[in-house]
Amino acid sequence: MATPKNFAGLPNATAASLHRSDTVDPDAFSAIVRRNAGRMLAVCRRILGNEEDARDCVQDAFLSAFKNLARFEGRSTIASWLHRIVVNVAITRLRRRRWFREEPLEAASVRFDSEGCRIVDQAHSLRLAEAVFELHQRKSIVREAILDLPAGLRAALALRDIEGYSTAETADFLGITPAAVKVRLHRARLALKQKLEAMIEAGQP
Amino acid sequence: MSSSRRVLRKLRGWMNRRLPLLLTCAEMDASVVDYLEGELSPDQRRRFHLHTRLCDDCRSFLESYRATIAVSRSAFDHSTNELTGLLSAEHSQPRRHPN
Repeated sequence: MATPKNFAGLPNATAASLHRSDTVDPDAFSAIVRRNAGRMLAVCRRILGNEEDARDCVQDAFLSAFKNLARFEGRSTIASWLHRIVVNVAITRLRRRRWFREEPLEAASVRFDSEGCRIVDQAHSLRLAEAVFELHQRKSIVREAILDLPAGLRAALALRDIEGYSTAETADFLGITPAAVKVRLHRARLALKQKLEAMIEAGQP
Repeated sequence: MSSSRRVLRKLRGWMNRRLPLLLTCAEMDASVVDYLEGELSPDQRRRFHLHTRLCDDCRSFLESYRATIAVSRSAFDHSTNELTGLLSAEHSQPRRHPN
């Protein structure tokens, strides 16, 4: 699978040029905003599913970055650092918004019988595979199912599967290990698969 | 489930657990993300393929799992201008997707 090599960002050296004496150079910072805002907004939209909240998050993230620029140590690119901040802001907002109905991460699981064989509803799986074209046409239904996932699962799915960041980048943004990203991704896909199968079973799409 | 299918499942489960070259369904499930990421070794990949050839449940699971990834990837409208009105920004990065 192809892995994106470089994502939106300025070289680390730019961070040093941001500071003139003890103050932040506003021109350099606005260049960083111009360069990274688009991708950060896209990530927030996928995680939050709401334009207004996504914009608020990006603004909060830039505000936080501006205040904490002195703490940026240059171990990663500016873009990576900003993405970490904005993903954190978005997940915090999502959890606050949905705290009352957050499902446990273990909600979606696969089942095996006493022989160790997978228990799968063949008919459900086949119908999902057959409905792919129709689901492509009716994106709002899929979006709704994605937006219904628990925050941690949704963020992993949004970054890796939808925005196309590599597993390593996703891990970096979420502050977890690549192995933990894979676990969340698997659970997110299973949960989404179950939701889509239930929708198809119920007659949608 | 018909009795012949039950017997076949029992036999398949027994074979998968005992024969060293075969994966159990749980082992297949545990490696599905790595398989799709292209991170399995050639040998692990061969065993994965062998399991999906022998196990129709895992084969149909894999098909719908892949379908789920494909539809979630296409669910969001990837408009060319992500910066609409935001902080007067005007630069947008090209979209990238994993294969």
